[in-house]
Amino acid sequence: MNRQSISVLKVSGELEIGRRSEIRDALRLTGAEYAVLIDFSEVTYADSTALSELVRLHREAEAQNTRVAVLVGHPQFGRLLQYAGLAQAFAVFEERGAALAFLAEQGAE
Amino acid sequence: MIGRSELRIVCCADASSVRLLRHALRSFLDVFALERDLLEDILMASGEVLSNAVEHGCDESGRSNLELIARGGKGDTLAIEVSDEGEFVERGRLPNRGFGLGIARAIANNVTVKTGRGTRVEMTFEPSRARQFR
Repeated sequence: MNRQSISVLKVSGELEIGRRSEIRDALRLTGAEYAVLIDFSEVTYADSTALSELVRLHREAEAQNTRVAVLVGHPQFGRLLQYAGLAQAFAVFEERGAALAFLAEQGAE
Repeated sequence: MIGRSELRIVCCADASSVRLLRHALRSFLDVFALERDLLEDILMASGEVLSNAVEHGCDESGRSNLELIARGGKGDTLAIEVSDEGEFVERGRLPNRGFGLGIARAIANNVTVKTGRGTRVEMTFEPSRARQFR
């Protein structure tokens, strides 16, 4: 595997309890990632089901020293983080270029 | 002039019902012409409470009902109730779970949990009162 590549994990639409298994499967790490972009740019709604899976992934990523950025396309996700008390927990971006630059920059440190 | 209206739905407490109930609630609320962020937040709080009802409200057979009631009028307090037939589980934030009721409490002006034969969560929202974080 190219250690410099950025893995993209993408899910779209409404992320809620009825899609829990699908979300869990989509947000799964292999253990070999260098950096991960969680692409929520086409997510129109997310609830604590998505948040719980994101927290799990983030913990796993930290344990394997993998950088994570979250790309969002709808302001609802930012408010979800705020209401859950997790506004500062993730690196969240509204522009893909900024998210990729963040991951590349972090990797260069 | 829109008078007081009520939405009442009883359905099976399974995960696939939550999205349908949230969309039904959205259709009900559309007539009140709420600010978009407020509308989305009310749906978010309701979605969390509905998800909790599905997660904790099912009996051992997996067959259980939940009830969604929404009452409101344009510019008036909006009341949303979700009832299930299960036992309420008050829990703190487990390592990566348990955010739902906290999110609802952060959004609604008031959240009351009533237990007994089943669990009923009552939320109220004041459309005219912007919360601090908006």
